[in-house]
Amino acid sequence: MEHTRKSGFFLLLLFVIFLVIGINTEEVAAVWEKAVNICLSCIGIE
Amino acid sequence: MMFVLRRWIQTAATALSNAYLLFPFTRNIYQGKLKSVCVPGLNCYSCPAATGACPLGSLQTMLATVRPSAKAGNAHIGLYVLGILGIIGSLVGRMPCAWLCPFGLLQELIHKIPSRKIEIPYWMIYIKYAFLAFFVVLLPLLVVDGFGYGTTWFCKYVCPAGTLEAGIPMLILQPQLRELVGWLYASKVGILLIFLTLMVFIRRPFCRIVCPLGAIYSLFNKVSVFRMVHHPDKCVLCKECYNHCPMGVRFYEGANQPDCIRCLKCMQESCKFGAISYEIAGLPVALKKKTTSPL
Amino acid sequence: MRSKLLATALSALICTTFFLACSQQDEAPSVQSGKNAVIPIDIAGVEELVKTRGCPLMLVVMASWCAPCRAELPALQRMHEKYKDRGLQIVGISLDIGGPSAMQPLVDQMNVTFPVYWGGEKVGTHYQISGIPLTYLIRNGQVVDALLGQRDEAFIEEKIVTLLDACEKEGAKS
Repeated sequence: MEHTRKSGFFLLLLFVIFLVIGINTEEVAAVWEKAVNICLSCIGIE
Repeated sequence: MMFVLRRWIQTAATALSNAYLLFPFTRNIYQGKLKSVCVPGLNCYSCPAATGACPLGSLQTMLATVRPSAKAGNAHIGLYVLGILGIIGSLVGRMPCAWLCPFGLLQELIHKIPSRKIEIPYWMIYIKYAFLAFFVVLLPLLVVDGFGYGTTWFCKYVCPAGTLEAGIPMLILQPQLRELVGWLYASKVGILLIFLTLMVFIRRPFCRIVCPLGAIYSLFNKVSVFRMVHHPDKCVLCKECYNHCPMGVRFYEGANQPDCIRCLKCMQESCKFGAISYEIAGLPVALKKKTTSPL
Repeated sequence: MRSKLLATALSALICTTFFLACSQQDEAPSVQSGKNAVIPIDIAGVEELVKTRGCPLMLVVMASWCAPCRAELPALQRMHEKYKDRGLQIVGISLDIGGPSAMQPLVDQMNVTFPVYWGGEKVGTHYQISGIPLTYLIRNGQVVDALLGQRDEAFIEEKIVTLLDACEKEGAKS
């Protein structure tokens, strides 16, 4: 049981690292770029 | 009490995720910097009122453009989105489904319509992992055109939340788009109607059978910092927890199952024997019956 | 145990993604922008373009990551070839945040010969463009039509011919 209690924090650390890498590789702007345009094919219009 | 609190939080989260109320005047979607932040629930970023980005949509667009962005020298593989989802997941698991997701709220509200209620076979809850693996990850990543671009398969062919929040409103706001409507749009409206109908009879059918976002969060349920605890010594197997569970989880068969969304309804309203509690970082949170905790 | 499994699975996923991305990268560094290079343009440049390009001008706002935009390019190229002698001018403007290099491979591989500029997010936000492809049909600096989404070729052609006729009549008068 002790082992699974730590795993949450281990994963938290891992994903914080993911987030930091993502922010530093300018993925935030890449997400924004798509989110401010209506994705026509996404709403069933092509 | 807890139930009322949860409804308020769900409603507030839905309102905050869709707080751009100028859209009837601008006839346009919100384009501010907030759109670069992923919301925790399923909320289409092409929704005219949306203030944030849909994590699933963002993840798919990142994976669909992996090759061209690599060519352009950017290692964009969706770590930012995965980071956000993973942080939420490792802290609270599937809790956002119960407390923050607008589409979850809709399903609970529609399920209130009086009718005969139906239970789905248990194996169906595993279908969502196939949607996650294929429609969100593999197909956008591997099926590419001559230029290396993939497609957002889940958004394009499945997502009923997108049809409801963006597809239908955008056609109303921008009449010229109506000229472009074809079989794809019709099939998506069909999928939406099917799910709206299922919601009346089945508890949260989309969350349990299809939702890839719920599938991602559910992977963290067993290991997250916040976890549910079952006390078999106190449990009398009355199944009241199951009867009241918005996800149809048989809590008495084990805590932290993939479909447990930590709404705490079972603990607060159903169990009269104190067989359900939760812990944070392995530390049990002492709860007296009929008290309201902030969580 | 489960957490390790989960972590391993996720790392494997990430590695595979990286591998796929990189394997693609080695293949073709073929940005040979010899003939038709995507050129940066600012808002003043766009305004200038609209004012000075004669009649008619078809301004197509696009981005490399936008599937309908890519699908529409060959049809636009055909229109360009068919009607350029009658005075039709097609100009593409890319909104990619990644710079001109994002659109360049598409222009090269599809043999696009009409000019394509890179406007970036500045142009997108300035004109509050929220859906692409967005096609402006412009006559003497005036926008007569704005078409959102990918249209079929016959529809675009009809619009072009109508506009060309109007422009030619005007030219004959003056």
